[in-house]
Amino acid sequence: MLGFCDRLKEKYMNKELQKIAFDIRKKILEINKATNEGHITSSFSCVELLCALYFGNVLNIYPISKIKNPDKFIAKGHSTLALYSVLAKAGYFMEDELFSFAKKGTRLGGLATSTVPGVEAHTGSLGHGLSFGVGVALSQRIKNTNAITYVMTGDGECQEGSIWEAAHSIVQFKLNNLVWIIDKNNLQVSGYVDKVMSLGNLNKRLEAIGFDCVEIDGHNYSQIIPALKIERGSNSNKPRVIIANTIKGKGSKYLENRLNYHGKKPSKDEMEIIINELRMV
Amino acid sequence: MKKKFEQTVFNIMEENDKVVLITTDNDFLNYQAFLDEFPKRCYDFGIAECNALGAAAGLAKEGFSPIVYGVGAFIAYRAFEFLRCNTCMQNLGVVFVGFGAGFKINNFGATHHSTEDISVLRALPNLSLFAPASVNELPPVLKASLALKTPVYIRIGKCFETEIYDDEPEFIPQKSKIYLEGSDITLLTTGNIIAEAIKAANKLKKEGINAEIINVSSLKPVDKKTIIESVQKTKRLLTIEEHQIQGGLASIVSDCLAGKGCFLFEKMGLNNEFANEFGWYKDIIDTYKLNEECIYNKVKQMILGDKNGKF
Repeated sequence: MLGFCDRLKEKYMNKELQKIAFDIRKKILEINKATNEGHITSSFSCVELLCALYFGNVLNIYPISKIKNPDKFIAKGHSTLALYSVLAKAGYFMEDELFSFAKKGTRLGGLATSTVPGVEAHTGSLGHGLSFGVGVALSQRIKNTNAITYVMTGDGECQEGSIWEAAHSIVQFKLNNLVWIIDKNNLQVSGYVDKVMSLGNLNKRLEAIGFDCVEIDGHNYSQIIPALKIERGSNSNKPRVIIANTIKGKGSKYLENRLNYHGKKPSKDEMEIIINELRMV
Repeated sequence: MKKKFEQTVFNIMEENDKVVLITTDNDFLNYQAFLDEFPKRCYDFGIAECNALGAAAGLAKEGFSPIVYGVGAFIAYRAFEFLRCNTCMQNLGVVFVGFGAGFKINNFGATHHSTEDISVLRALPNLSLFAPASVNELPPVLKASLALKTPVYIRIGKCFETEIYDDEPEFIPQKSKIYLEGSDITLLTTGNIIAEAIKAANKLKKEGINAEIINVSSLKPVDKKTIIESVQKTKRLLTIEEHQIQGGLASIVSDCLAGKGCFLFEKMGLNNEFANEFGWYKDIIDTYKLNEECIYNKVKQMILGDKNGKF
């Protein structure tokens, strides 16, 4: 149980995080407006999750590139507008660079590539990041560190068979130093995940494999942060997976749950509506 | 070859604590010894090659030197995209060892044959491609591969390979060894099929035909210089491979020789067909005309035809 002071601190921090998330969404729209590139809705769904990781005292990474045995985060490949905005804010590179997004000569491509500071792996092709994370978590175990590997995937991405190969190995190798976050926004390119190729009862499936499965509101810091913070060096046999229920396009009513909008470029008029509707989550 | 692989990796892991062994449900003779000695550095990923390759990339990124071991056909074909995006695109130091080169997993049939692996893998940037000719060449190939710290695929046999070297030969990437010197024809081979070429060459020698045999164990990067010099000397060449001639050794050699002169060039291997027949290894190489006798006949036909102006 949190004491009065802790609750006050949490409330204050959550307010701060909400403000940061609002700024990140604004930045995403500015980049998209300037470059006409990127996946806005996939990025909007995971803004709170990313802000919690980087600014909610979850990832042990600061001071950046100076800390010994930092935590690792393997990102959802299609969320680069959000990811790069967050990485710039965290100090991995200058914010001005964001406006080179997907342009000739940039290192900030449309999908996550490990040549960008702070990006661990090429996760543009779906179903790769979780396996990569298994290797990183095994490395941390061999090195005897208490660092944690966080991996975020989408829910549509869980249609890839390799995700389940990786899931089995996380449990088999008892990787309790790995946290798998599923940004469950229920949409993929061609429609609702349930309609395209249903994953069934994801929670039950993951529990049946042997995960400690936690289901949360992926836009609510009071639920996100405790779920992300696992005990370092724990002896648990059950690795943590978080099903973060999110809304694709969250933050602007026009975009929320909008079909056929994955990777779509808004028109000038649409952009005006989206910006005007942008609100604090 | 598999036995030698186990012994060599065990020794390497004793010397180098960065080496991690990743297997994919393979019949190791003594896997327990690895678990006892290196409990934190060997992981069996089960029948899940894609995940094994993805995880290996993660380990390499964190400074380890993973050796991924499995059936060549499954590493090269099933997990190809994991090799491409994770290891090659990020140029990470992972050594893949695919066993069952050519028809070495003989009676399981075409699903288990590695007869297109060279074709598909040589297209990948950053990936080196090596194939030891016999058991004694495996340890130097493995050690040189780990030293590179970039992605390497090693194509090995399985068991009952004919030994062609008395001791461990030197192996240098991008260097091919002339196994036998000759002046009438160049025989280029990769893997243990070299044993059939050697037998054929010995028979030809008795008839006054001197074949030069080159062991192309470094398929990529390939030793252009040795190949070009030999063929410019003999003016005739025959490639022999347990692989499709499309994209395999024959294509690699063609790439080397384009624009380098006019030569009599024949290719032995699978010609755009799957090896669907079953049997022992010897039966398969008989069926697909890669045995000593076929090589002998082909060389005779080339040399006689050449002398009679048929070509």
